[in-house]
Amino acid sequence: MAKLSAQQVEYVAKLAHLSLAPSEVALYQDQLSRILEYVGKLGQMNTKKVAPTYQLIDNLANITRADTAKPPLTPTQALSGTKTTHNGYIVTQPILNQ
Amino acid sequence: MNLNAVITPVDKTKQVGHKDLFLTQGVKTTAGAKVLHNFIPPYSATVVIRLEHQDLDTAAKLNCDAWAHGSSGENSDFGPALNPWNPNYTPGGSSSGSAAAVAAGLVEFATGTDTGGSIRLPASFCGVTGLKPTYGAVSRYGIIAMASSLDCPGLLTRDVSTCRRLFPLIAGKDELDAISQDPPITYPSKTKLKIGLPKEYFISGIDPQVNQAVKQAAQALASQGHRLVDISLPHTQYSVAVYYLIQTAEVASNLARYDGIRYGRTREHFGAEAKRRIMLGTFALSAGYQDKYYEQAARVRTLIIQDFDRAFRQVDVILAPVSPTPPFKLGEKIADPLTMYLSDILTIPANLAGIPALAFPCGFTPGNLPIGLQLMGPRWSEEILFNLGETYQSLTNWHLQKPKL
Repeated sequence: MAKLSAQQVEYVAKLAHLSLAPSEVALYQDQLSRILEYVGKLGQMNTKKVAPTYQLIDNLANITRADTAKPPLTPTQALSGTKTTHNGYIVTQPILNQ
Repeated sequence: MNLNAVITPVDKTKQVGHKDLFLTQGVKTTAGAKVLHNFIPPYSATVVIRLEHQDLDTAAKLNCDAWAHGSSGENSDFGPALNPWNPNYTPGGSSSGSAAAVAAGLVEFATGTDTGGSIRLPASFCGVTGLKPTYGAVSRYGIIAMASSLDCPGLLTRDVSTCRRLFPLIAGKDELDAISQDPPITYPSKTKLKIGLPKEYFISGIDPQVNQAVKQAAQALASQGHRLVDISLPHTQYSVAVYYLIQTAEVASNLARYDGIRYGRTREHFGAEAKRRIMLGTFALSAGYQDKYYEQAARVRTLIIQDFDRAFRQVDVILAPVSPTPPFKLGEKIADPLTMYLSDILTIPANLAGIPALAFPCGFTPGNLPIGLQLMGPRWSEEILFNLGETYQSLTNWHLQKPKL
């Protein structure tokens, strides 16, 4: 495939919640294009009659366990990794305006 | 010599080095990444707890490529670990600190994770034994996820016997990891095995020193009455392409949870390789490209699995090099991601198929750098691999060599 455009790289970065410096955009344009060219060789293969493999364990169904309570993390433990808490809750960025 | 194998020292009197991907309650766990530079987990991985129940406690948290992304240890956000046989060379990755620490005798044994070769490659580069178990044999609970359809926690030890002794302690069903299982079958122990040598693993691109050392090891096993059989795994050449689509798609998904809100720092702190893989995986899954890239890779993955299925109707185990080359120098491949990715061409197929593989040393280069081979078997055939590995180590003393530090 043709080299990725700067716009394509910026679009993918936006999807992935990454902010890239202009120099990174240029670097990834180049590196990702080369990698995509390499992996593009899979496109030459006829796989119409081949089922895809998404995961390897196919003998698992209806897995159950005893419905017994176990000691959970304490609130202090559960909040130990976060910098800003409020009344025992984790403070996040707002996702709605008003 | 400081090998930079350790990120967090814990207790020198203890036995176990844990790759810093394994959560250890109350002990900093970074995944080799600055996003988690001061993350203190409130619970431990199942593997860590199972070892503690046997009084095998944490000696140190070990360096690795950040998020286990890498083949050399150089993607660690805390600087590369060095190869104890020669500090100008990489110890292999991503379980770089695990292999270096075991080889240097800093720990009795170490844990690692193998998603595309990350236990076997460093084991090979550092002259130690490394087990990538059957997918699902060891619980992934509490281990920072890389690519969930491929991740296999395992062990790095000084010899096969130690690995065999420790493996049952960490293996088996864990209700906290839905894909973990007890072995559903037991392989009958045969005294004489058919050992397959796949021609695709001995092509001209393989370093002649590696080729020769691995073939000599095969002859040593043949001298014990095992039979060598030439086989073919025809889709091997596609394994890196398949892997770098499936793995990066799963990486993009698994690393989406790092938002800096509940723990860790924000996404601005991701290193170059993590960003590269997130970008590649996001692209491979994005609208308009998913069928062409991710779906096609999942289909070719099936062909690679079928290669192994056919081979294991013909032979009991497969013997092959771990790496196409002996250890390479620090800096040699870091500027060229694609060349670095190709280091894993001989280890990736076992991950795509979910089969176990055991790596151990089989010689040294004239420059005194270790060379490793790997045995691959059908799912749940670890005992066969251990038997054959122990036989080889009873005939040779490569595994007894120690680096001068």
